[in-house]
Amino acid sequence: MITTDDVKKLANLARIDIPDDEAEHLAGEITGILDYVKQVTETDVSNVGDQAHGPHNVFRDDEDTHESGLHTKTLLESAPDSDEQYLKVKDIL
Amino acid sequence: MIDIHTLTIREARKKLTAKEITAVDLASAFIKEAEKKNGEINAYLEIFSNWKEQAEESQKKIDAGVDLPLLGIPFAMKDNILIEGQKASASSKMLENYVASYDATVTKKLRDAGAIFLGRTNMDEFAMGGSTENSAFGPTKNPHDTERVPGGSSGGSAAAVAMDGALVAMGTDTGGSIRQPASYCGLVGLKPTYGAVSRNGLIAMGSSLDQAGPLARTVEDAEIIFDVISGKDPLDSTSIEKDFYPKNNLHGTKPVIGIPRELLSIDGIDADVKENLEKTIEDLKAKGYETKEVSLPHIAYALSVYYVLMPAEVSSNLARFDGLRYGLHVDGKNLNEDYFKSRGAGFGKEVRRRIILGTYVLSAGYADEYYYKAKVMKALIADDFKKAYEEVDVIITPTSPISAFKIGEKVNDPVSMYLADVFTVTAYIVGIPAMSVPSGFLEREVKKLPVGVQLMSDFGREDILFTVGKEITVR
Repeated sequence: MITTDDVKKLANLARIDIPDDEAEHLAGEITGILDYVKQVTETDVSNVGDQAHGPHNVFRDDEDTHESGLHTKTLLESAPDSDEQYLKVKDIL
Repeated sequence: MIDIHTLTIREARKKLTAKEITAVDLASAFIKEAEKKNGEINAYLEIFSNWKEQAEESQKKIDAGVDLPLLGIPFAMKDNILIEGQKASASSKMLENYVASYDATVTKKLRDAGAIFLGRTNMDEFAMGGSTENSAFGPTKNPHDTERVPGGSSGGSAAAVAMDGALVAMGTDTGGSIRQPASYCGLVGLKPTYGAVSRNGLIAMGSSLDQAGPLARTVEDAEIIFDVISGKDPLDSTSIEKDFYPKNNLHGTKPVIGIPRELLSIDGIDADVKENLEKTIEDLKAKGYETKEVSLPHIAYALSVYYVLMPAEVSSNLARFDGLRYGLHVDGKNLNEDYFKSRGAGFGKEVRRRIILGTYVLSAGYADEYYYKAKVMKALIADDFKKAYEEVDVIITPTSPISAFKIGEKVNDPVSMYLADVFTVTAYIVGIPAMSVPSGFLEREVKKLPVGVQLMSDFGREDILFTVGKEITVR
C-alpha cells in the first residue's frame, strides 16, 4: 500500500514537483501497479546465478577524440543559460 | 500518376531508376496526402521544410547513375530519433524546442543509403505508452477508424504510413512500441535483436530494452531497411556485428513453428483475435510448415518483470533532464527548485508515474525485493525461450490480445493499458527479434480494423522472421 506521503517522498527523491491532488491519485495507481507486479517478489532466487551485474568497463579509453572546444558552441546553443564557454546555474552552496 | 497506396521500396526504386518518376514527384505525392490528412490524424508533429531539397538532392544522384538501397525513398521519423538541425521532442514539453546537434547512427545510415526524411512523427511522451495518447501534443488517430488509437508508442509513425503520408517509417520499440501500432494500423513492424541496431542518438527510455526498427507495408521493405540500419557501432557499446550470433541449421526443411498454447489460453484475448491466429497457423500448415507446441512456463511473469525493469531504467535515464544543460528550464528560487519546477512542468503524467514507480523499485529496501528479483525472473524467461528454440525456429502469437481500442478508453486504467503489451514484452525482456505481420481484419462497430500476428525467433535470426513473414497473408 503506497500512501500519498510515500509518493511525495519518492517525488522528492526524483526531484519532481507533484501537486497534492496528483500525489493522491498516483498513490492509488501505483498501489494498483505494485499489486499487479508483486508476483515478481515471490520469485525463488536461490537456484539462479548472480544477475545483478551487467556490462563491465564498456567505455572507450580516455583519450582526445577531437580538438578541444569543437562542439562547445553547438551544445551551448541548447542550454537555457550560459556565459561564454560555460553553463550558467544558480549558486550550489 | 503514382499509386502510392500499394507502392513498395523495390517498386519505387525501380520507377526512380527507370526515370518513370522523379524523387520530387514521389516525395510530393506522400506530402500531398500528409497535408490533406494530418489535421485530423495528427501523425506528424512537423513536416520538414527541406523535404523538397532532400528529394532534389536524391534526384541529382539518380541522374548521376548512383544506386543506393533507399535512394529517394520517403521516410517518416519518430520524434525520438535525432536528425541534425531538426527538433526532436520525444513528444514532451521537456524537449519541445530541443534541436538535435547530431544525427543518430540510424539516421546517418538511412541518409547514407539515400533516404529522404519527410517529417517527425507523434508518439507517447518519451515512448511511454501503447496508444500515443500520452503525447504532450495531442493524440494520434488511427486512419482505419479515427475514433480509435493507432497503438503506441510509435503511433505517429504507423499512422503516417497507414494514411499514405510516407512510404515507410522508423519507430522505436521498448515493450511493443513498433509491433503493436503496426498491428493496429495494418503494417509490418520489426523489433530487431537487442544490439542489432545502434541506440546512439535515440532519446533513451529503457536502455537495456530500447531498439529502433522499421514500420513498412511489406516484409521485404522491413528487410531492406533492417539490412541498412543494422551493424556494430563504436558509439553504442551494446551494438553487435551482423554475424555476432551463429546461424544454426533449421529444425526442418522449412522453419518449424512453435505454438505457446499456455500463453494463448490466458484471459483477455478477443475471440476473433484468437480465431485469426488459428487461421494463420492453418494457412502455414497448408504451405508445408510443421508446427509444434512449446512450453514457456515463466512467461506469465513477463509483464510484471517488464513493469519493474522498465520504470527502473526510466527513472535512471530521465534523471539527466535537469533544466540546466538543455530542454525546458523553469526558474525557481534556488538550484534545487530549478530541478523540481523544470522536471515537474516538463514531464507529463505517465512519465511522472513511471519515474515515481522506478524510484520506488530502486529505493533502499525494495531494490532487492523488486529489481533484483525481476532480473532473476528475466533470466528464467530467457531460459524458457532458449529451450523452446532447441525444438522450433519461430514462435507465433497474436501481436496484441485486442483490437485497436477507443481513444480515452484506457487512460485512467494503467494496468489494463499495460495488459495490451502481454505478447510483445517478452521479446523485449529476452532481447530476441520479433515482427508483427498483418494477418486480417476484425469487425468492430461496422468498421474493419487491421490485426496482426507476431513472430519471435532466436537471437540474430531476423532472416527466419522474414522467411515466415512473407508467407503470411491478410485474410
